[in-house]
Amino acid sequence: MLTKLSGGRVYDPANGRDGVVMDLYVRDGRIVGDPGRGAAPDETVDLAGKMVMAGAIDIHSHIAGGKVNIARLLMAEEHRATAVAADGLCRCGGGVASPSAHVTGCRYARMGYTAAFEPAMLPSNARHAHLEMADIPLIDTGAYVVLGNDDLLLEMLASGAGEEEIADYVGWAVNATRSLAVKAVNPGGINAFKYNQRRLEVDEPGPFHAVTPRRVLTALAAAVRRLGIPHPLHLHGFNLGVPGNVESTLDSIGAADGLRLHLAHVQFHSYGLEGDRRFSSAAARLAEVVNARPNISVDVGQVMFGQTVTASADTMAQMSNTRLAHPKKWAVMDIECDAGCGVVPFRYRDKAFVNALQWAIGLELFLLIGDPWRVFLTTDHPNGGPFTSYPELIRLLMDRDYRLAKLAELHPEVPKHTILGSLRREYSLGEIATMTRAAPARILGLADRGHLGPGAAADIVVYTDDADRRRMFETPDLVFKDGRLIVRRGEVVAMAEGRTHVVEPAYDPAIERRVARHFEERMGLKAVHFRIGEDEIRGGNGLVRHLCRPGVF
Amino acid sequence: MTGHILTVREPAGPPIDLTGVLPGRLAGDGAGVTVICGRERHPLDALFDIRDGGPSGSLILRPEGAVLDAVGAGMAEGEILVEGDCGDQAGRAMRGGTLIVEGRCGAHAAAAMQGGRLMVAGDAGDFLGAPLPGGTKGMGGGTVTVGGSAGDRVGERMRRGLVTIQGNVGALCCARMIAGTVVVGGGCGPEPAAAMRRGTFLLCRAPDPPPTGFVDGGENDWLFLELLRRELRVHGSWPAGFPVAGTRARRLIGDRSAGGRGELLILSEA
Repeated sequence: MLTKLSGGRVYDPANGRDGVVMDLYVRDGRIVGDPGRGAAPDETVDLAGKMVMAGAIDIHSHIAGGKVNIARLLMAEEHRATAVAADGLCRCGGGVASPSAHVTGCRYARMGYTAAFEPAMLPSNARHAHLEMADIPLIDTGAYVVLGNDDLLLEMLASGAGEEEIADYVGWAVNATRSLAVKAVNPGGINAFKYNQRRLEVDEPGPFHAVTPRRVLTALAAAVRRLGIPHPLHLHGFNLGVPGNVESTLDSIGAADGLRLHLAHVQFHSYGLEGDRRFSSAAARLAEVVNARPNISVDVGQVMFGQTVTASADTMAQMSNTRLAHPKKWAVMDIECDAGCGVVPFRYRDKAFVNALQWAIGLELFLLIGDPWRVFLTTDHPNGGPFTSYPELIRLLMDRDYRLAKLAELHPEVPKHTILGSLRREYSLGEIATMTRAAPARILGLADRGHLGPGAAADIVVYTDDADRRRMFETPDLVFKDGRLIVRRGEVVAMAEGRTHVVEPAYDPAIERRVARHFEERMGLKAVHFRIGEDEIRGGNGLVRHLCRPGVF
Repeated sequence: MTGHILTVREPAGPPIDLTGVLPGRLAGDGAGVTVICGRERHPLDALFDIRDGGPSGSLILRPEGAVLDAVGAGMAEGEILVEGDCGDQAGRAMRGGTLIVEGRCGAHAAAAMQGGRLMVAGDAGDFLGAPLPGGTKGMGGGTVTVGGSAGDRVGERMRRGLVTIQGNVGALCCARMIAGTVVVGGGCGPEPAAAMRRGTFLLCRAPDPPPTGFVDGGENDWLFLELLRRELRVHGSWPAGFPVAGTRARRLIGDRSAGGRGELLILSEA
């Protein structure tokens, strides 16, 4: 079936289109070139005066896995207060900061998102995370496997394993857990926490394996490159949330030594020590370094005011956050031989100096990092705020007057501590399309997503131009998933299943002997059972493999 | 003006969540009011036969065997009479008024209750007067009387108010209690008053084995018991197993393992 989307204004940065009025053609769920005059479309959708973009992609959103479920349990009051009844298409559920799986998919689709990626899947939670992602409808998913605190890797590093052997282990882990990328969370730090350490500097040897975080970081970044995984090492850095942590962040960039590195939720890693309160913005310093180094990309992790829940594998950071819990309850635990898990409910208040400055620091980073291909729109859902606040965030980026009005409402000391008021930049629609569509697809290696060229999946969003960008991005007119209309005027009109995106890097299977021995001695199951089969992902019918190119990425 | 009588049309259906169905809130035939039944929301009159009846400001529910959850949730005034059993969360976050259950009620009855009266003729389930799942604040006021027995974790994290149970209670009764009074006429299960901070747990039979973490404060006469007895006579709910007179009781203080100074009063024979 051939569908013609006629006369829309197309924002497709990957193909160099910035508001070009043109027709798009969709056949069998894919975008095709103009079939010529001879081919009569079976259906024509008139989009004259409308804006057309590819489906949005969230590169960093905690939507599935063990810690998300713990967050749901802790946020039971929220689930009760925001219960959603089934409506014929969408199933029942609830929650805002930690929505239930089905509700997550419906809410993303209503906002024009067609893919979201779970950035922290512990190997031992992988099977659960995949089962949960299969329960998220309407959007594509995928996950990044968390390494860097697991005993086997640290043992290998401590015993002087070579780069090739480390890469083989990482390749095995990515394949076994069906992941799209590799993430390191406070490398070495979570392991140190298990030995009662509450802080670990970049060049400080860990308490048990005597491996420095710098060594873990460089080993993983090199392994990712050697395996040719498209997405660079996704790093949750050191000393999250600690005033003065920008030094550690800059150290991490230095440790990458020119290798590609993605810094996650950098807002939480951009704090200085200046001023009376010993808490200041270091966004300008970090932005300057990021602008100068094309091997570095970042997602921001913007803070949005209101109640949320923070969920992270970084037990070191989360343990220190427990005193700030609101409501007053939390869970912090070790997770097998992998890493840890900390869940702390939190309420960001615009009248609190620290929270308000965090909000300003995030916006500073967005506005000071010049290249929209290397900065991504995230709130680190739910850590900085729920993903449903993205339209509000887009308005803050696109509308300076609105931004200044909001700045004036904050804690009175904050405007003196931020340069936000002097930043004149307003994001264009093309830049928003880049940072939410084209760039995430490119950096994740999703060749057929995030753009509207021939061969791309027909994930298409249609908006009505509205000066209020929040309203515009909150309720798209139409959302197509793989060519099928799933949302009309912000309401789900048809149910569709997403896909799970993975990479399958090649590695030397000889490493499996060592892995099997480790599982035999330390873990609760055998390595062969730990590995997730293809038939376990969406019933064997939903895997999308992306190409690894060793030595190229 | 009269109240309303609601009779379930299809007793074999899924549980009906009656959040928002309160005395005085139903105008005329209840048109426009919707409730969640199973997974879906339905008009109230599709699930219940609604008729005028009963005194003004009252609501009479006839479950006919159906499961009715959250009866009287958030109620502030008026009276609800349930001519049968209730499901879970009866009187959840109640602030005033009276809820009378002629049968039994399920788990989380009087959860996070703030005021008013809940009277259950039969048994109550687990978490009576405790917080809602995931919550941190138990019952903060009001009076609960149970004619039968109750399940585990009665009065957990309770902050204020009075709960009396004629029969037995299960494990962890008054665990993490902060204040308030719980009176039990029968026996209690393991770990009574574990991690109790303050408050009063009144028993007529000594727990076996004795709770750890409590120190013996000796046997004394407590005028408070006579005052409590008078108060409960007003409600007509002095637990049957208790002696009708006498104010002598042994006082255990704890739970010291949690730094608590609550009291476990064990009545002496009159």
